[in-house]
Amino acid sequence: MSTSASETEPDAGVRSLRGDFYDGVSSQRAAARLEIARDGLATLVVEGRAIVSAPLRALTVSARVGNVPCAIRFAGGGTFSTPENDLVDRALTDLGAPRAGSRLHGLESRWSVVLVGIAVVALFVRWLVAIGLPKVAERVAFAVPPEAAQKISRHTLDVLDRTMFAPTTLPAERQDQLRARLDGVVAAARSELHFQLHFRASPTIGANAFALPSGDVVLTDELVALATHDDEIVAVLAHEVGHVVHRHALRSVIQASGLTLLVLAVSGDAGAVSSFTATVPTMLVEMRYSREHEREADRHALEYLRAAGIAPASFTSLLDRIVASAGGADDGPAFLSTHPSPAERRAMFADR
Amino acid sequence: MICPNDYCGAEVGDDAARCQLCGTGLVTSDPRDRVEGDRDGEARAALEGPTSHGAAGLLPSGETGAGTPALAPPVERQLAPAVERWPFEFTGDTTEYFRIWVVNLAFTLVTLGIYSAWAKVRTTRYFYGNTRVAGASFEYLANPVAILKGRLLAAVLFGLYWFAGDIVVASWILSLGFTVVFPWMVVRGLAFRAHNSTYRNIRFRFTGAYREANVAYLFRPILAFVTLGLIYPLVRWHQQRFVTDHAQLGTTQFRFGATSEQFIELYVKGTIFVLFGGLVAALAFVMRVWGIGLLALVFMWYAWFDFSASFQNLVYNRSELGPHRLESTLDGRSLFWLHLVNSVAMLASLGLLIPWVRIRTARYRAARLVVAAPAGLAGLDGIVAAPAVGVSAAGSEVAEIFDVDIGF
Repeated sequence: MSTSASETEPDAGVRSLRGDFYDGVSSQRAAARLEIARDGLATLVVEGRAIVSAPLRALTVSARVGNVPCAIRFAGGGTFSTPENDLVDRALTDLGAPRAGSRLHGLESRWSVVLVGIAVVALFVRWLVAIGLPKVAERVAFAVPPEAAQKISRHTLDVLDRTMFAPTTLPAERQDQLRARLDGVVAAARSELHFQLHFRASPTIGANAFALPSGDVVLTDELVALATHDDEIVAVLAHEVGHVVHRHALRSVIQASGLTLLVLAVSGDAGAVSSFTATVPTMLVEMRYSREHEREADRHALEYLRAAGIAPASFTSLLDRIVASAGGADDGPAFLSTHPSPAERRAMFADR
Repeated sequence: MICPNDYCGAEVGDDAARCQLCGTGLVTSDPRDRVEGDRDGEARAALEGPTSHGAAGLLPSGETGAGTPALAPPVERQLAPAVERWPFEFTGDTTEYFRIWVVNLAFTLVTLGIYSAWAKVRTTRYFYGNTRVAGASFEYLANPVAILKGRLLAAVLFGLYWFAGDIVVASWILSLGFTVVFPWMVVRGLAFRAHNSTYRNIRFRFTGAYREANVAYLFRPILAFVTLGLIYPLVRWHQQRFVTDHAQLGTTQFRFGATSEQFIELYVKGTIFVLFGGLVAALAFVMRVWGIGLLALVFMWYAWFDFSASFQNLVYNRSELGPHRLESTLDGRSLFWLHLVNSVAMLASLGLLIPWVRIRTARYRAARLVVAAPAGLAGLDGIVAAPAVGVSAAGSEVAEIFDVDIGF
């Protein structure tokens, strides 16, 4: 084993690591050295005296993380702590027992790997947000039995009745007329859900319509008043039924949860990231999802209108009037950014 | 004349028998016998007593103290407590941590979260290992598999809660269950983290019991809710006391010395400012005066950080580990700027500057924390380890998924 090199330098094979020894019984610190011989025998030397020897491979060496001090644990519970990570790594590699974490550390030390990592993260996040999450949400939403959805929404309508709605002033025959038109839309959608049309007056909300996952569709008197022809109202009903049939409410909730998890994963523990910073990107993505859902509901409406022989432009002409009545583009920014632009919708519903 | 105690140095009346500040007895000698400028000599003489031979220059030779009315009675050695300080230090490097963070993130995403347990251990080891005080760093020993088990359990619970959300009754039951289980999660989380944290190879410990945790994290918060939040400062005080009083480093106990009055005072002041800001902001936004609204929001944010800094300072400054105290010098203004820059950086860089933000926050906090203890003691060398005991991770990871802040 001895070569001419080791004859001229007797300690050539010995690696000497400087550090501190903590015996694990008290917090007393002792300056120490760990001498690792070629054959792997590690000797702890404190104040010039060898305290304990053991094969390095038999000792517990902490995993490499950056340049954090390396802790080498002895069977008796004492720990030798040294900043000389590279020496430890080399000693262990020479013994054929690479240190835990050294491969990861190798990856983390190369900028090429890091750049690839950034690309992977960017692509993955983009894929997740644009495709992965919406797909999962869709699958899960359709897997949930429709009866479950019906139970939650009942409650929502009551709350709205108490806060924003007043009883409708529409005459009963008018209501029945419109209900019959809704039946037509629902029949075309071939949904298992039980749809019900409700009429309300709401000066606060103005002209609008929405559908709850339970199949409750609400039309405001103001919207009915704005319509010049029943076909326009039918177009809106078709859009709302589209929302319900495609389970948009549930999918939104799933997507929001998924987003929260993603933000949590990227930002790690909540320490450095205030909830405000996490909210901004989440909100932006949720608005994008909302626009996607609106487009899907629009497509559903378009299909029905074509099948029923109604001019598609009926939808956008009423829509434009609703926007105008709400004060134009300025008022209620949420209305616009959660929906596709009016220009886009007009293009989609243009009469062919 | 000057008090002969080197650490005191106070002005004392010429005919005083003792220094009022530190209590050192004074040799009230005939001023003519005083050796000018020989403070050391005087001190030595004072300490050694009037019969010492070393009192040359102070006593006319041959005389003893007993018969000289000008001499003070024998002196006992009494030094004013000198304080030794060990500032915290954070030695982490931004570029180094950035690389670790990217690799962690890439693996975590690609493994759909499984690697997150390893990522967490590596990150915590990095931050612990780069936090130094009194010449030694901390170490985090947790086993990633234990953390993974905890996270899987948390994911299952989360999934259950989520699916039960469709069935209203079930979600109520689960919410209730979560509230009841919360104190358990706090205790497990603290115990796990403490057990896996060491300083100079001595483990920390958390010995809080479930019964007391239930009172601190379940019953009292319910009471606070019932009283519309009026007793919330007291609830927080009890919680902090519970956490600190049951924490140990080896066999040395932490102690929490802040009073409930201090907590109340802090919360009242903080609430007033934040509410004031919030009110102004709300009014401004309703009246569409955006400029004032924005200013009010900034004021609110600032007041919040002011409160946060004072709160941290209070908790740290009144926590003791044996004879050791902490000196925390956070202040609202620098905390506000720190977080402002952090938030802007993270948003503007689309998250790429998160590692930079973490490192600079750690450096900031370390720079404002000091361990202090009376000099001449064993200091941080005198802590004795406690017998070994094992702790599971499930509580800790469940607590983290549900966004529970249980840090000390």
